[in-house]
Amino acid sequence: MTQVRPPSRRRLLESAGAVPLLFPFLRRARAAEAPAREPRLVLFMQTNGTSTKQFFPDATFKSSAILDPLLSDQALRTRTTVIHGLHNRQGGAGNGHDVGFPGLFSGYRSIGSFNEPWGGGPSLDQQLKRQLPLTEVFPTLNCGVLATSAPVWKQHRASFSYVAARQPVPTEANVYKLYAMFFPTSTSGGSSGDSVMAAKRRLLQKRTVLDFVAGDLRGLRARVGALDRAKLDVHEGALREFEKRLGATVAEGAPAQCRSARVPASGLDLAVEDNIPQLARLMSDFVALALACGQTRMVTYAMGNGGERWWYRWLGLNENAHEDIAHRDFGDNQAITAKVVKIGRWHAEQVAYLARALDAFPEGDGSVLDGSLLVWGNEVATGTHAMENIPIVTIGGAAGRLKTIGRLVADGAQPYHRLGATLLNLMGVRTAGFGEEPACGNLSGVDIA
Amino acid sequence: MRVLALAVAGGVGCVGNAGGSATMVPPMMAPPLALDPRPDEFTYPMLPGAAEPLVPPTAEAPGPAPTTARRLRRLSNVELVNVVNDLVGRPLVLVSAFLPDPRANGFDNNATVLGFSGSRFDEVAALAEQVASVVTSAEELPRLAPCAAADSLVACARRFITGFGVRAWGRPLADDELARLEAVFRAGADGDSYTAGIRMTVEALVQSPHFLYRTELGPGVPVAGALRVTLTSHEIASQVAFLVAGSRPDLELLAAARAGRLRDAEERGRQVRRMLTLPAARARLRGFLKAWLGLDHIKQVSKDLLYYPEATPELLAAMDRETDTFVDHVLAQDSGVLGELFLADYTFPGKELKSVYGDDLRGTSGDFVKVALDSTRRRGILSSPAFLASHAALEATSPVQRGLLVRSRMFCQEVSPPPPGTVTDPPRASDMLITTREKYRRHADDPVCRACHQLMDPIGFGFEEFDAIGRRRLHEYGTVVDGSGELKLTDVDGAFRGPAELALRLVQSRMFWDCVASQLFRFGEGRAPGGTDAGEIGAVGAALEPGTRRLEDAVVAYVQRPNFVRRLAADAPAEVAP
Repeated sequence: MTQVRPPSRRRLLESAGAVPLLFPFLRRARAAEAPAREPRLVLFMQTNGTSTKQFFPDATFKSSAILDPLLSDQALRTRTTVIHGLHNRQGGAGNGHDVGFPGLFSGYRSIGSFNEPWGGGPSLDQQLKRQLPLTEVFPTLNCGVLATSAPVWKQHRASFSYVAARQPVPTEANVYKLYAMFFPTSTSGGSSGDSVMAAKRRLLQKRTVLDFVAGDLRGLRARVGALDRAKLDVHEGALREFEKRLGATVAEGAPAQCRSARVPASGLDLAVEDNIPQLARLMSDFVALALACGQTRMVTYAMGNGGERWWYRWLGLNENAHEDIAHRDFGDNQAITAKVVKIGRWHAEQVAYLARALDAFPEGDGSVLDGSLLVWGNEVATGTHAMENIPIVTIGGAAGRLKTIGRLVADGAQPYHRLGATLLNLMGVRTAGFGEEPACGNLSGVDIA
Repeated sequence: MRVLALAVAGGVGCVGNAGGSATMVPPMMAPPLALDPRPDEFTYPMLPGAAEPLVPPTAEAPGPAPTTARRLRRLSNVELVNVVNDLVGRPLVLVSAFLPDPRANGFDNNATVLGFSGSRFDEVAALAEQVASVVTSAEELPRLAPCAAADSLVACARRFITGFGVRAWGRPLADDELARLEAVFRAGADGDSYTAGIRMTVEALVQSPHFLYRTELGPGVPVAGALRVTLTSHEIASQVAFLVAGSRPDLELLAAARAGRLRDAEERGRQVRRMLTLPAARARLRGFLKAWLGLDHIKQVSKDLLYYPEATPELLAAMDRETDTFVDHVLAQDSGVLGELFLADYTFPGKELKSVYGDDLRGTSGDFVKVALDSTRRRGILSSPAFLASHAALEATSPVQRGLLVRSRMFCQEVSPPPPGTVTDPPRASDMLITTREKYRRHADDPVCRACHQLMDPIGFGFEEFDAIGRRRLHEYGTVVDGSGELKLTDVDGAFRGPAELALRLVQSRMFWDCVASQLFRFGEGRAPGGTDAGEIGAVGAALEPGTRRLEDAVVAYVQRPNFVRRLAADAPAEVAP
């Protein structure tokens, strides 16, 4: 992957301007005429597979047992694409969960030992972060809903975003903390005159400290080998993002909700599994707000750790969905499959909820959903670790770049790498391949501008 | 690691604030007070600002090539917390909620895996503010950064930076570093206050990569063509301190570094023996042993409460405390005789564990006090509830997990992973009312499964007389449990029954003791051993002499190796396995 799209006129304008030294440090207002903006991307990960028979709709694209929450809503159905036929046959360290969780959106095989397999290369969001000229204060948001009654010590399954091989980006599951980080004014009611001066002084002091730290990073970088340089580059990138965020407020032209954002008062226990339905709503509301307000461009959203062991009591189930349900779904037991369908539908409802939340923000002629691509994937195809027909759904038009929408794409068997290649191209990175397959090409049957 | 067994193809389905606005601190005439509860600790010494002189590469002593490359090591969360607590002289309740460190083979200090991230930057920034607000608080500022009325503020700041900086970074600051920090102080003091300036310098010191990483780089940059470098004296001090105490060097180590004494292997050994008597070292070595044996997540282990309603958080916490008490006892006895860890015929159970031990105890269990065990049934750590519960499934035992742990962590042999597509979780207990051993029968009957499982299951079967929370059991679904196990492809092959007999075999095994050395090497180096490390591991293993097998001797042997203070000048190739 090489070429990067030229930055838009708006971005050139933005980067040409000096940061105004006023408090609050207003970021330059986004152009009101709303030119074609760069697409946003959400990678939503379900785990433990699905029932592929109950998942894929037929060519009429009217319904499927699992996708009904999306397909029964005309507004969503016309912007949904279901991709059939993707396979992941590349193998890797560990079992299907270990291969698929870090693999699907990275294109790399997992590496390491059976007990401790790690992602083998950078994930899509981190690849894009390196290659796109991004101006958002948080270029990527790596979040999820990780409450679980079975605490995970398999930390290689706690994130599907990787900076590089064996270097996962932690998944932030604390939505309250995210509000405070992304919307600093969400924790207080604004500033009075005195505190404005104090805040301004404090801001300058923080910048001075960061300059010192940046100097140390540069000095150290000059003394280390290539592997450590890569790590320090990530560190310095984190510093730059932090610096950009200091004193940053929401853009002038942004939706009103961006300025009135408040940390939700619910105070849910993030570790309690029965809170998951509410936590998922909170997180989806937050993700939509962060994208609509221009605080971030790319989101990884983990609905559970890889190979999650939720009990889905809120669905009336009360079994370990990994061992007791997914692993037993060989397709020959209707009672088991019915439970898999129930779980799959719940995930479809979560995706639909997030899509509607994005759609609620108008933008140009359409909505933020039209300017985005929401991709719903799964680490494995079925609970018995099948890797054929991995269920993939996209919603949104990627700012007009995705031409194939409102239908099922079933163009034979295709390596899953083509999904990643297609997403890179949609996001503005011209490439013929993805991950370990540099020449896999785009998805067959999908047209992109 | 030796990889055993053939990779098998196909065949799916084996069973599957800041400190207010004060502008001037009252004059302080007395020297700073001792503030650290640790007995060897001290206040910030006045050390000269100049860094030690560079050692030209030509002064390199000949010898075997080092096996580890020059590198940075990000501090693990545990290490970072230790350093901060040492720095402020007391344990802080941190505001930062660092996300868990990734682990490699049980250890949380793998140099490759420990990276940086955006969220970590935020957490570090919050940590820096917290440390700065403690240092600049009304109680601490006069002690940590005193400034007499007659002194210029800049002179006070310089004195503070020099002393505090040594503790924070584990080395004297270079002149340019001092000058830059002084500039940070001025930026805060001008227009604000002395306190603000100190606060900013603390924030800068804590957020600096020199705080967040430790270097194994040697002086400057290697000259072109250099093959190896020797670490600086202060880097060696950090190597010793992090290995033994999980933190930056204490005063004595810093003094030894400053005097250039740590290039001497004997001195390194002496320092290790001194530090091993400190509580911090006890905690560090306990952490090493627990990570190695997979015992450090016992409090997070979950059990299916349908089958194990007894597995309450209190029970798990008691298992953890028993483990800590027992391991500390072993470490304190005669410098840590490792055989005792596996053979002890006693333990330290809390009263919560009485129902787990049943009549295996030869005395009354009090509150984590020593009680004799029936040594025909239980001996040492392998028979402990923590071990047995950690290495089991949610609702049943797991012969595969237990066998794999013994194979990989005690014999350092890696077993090939199952073929792609294999469902690796066994049938649930409720599926079949037959013994666990029977449920795994297919692993023995199907040649595809057997190729690998013969290396794990027969060892794990030897633990079958202990259930998933460590109770001894004689029956499963009305059938008598067969607790016979077998070791194969080791130097102590043969049948055994129960973890007590397994332990008796293990301590007779050279492979086992070499593996212990390998684990210590892995923990010390923060990486997986490779082919070129055999000599280093052998030297550590040789120090585990029969009859004593003291952990202290192995640690001393490890730090005394020339390899400990030298690095390859070039990048190492990426690790094959962490």
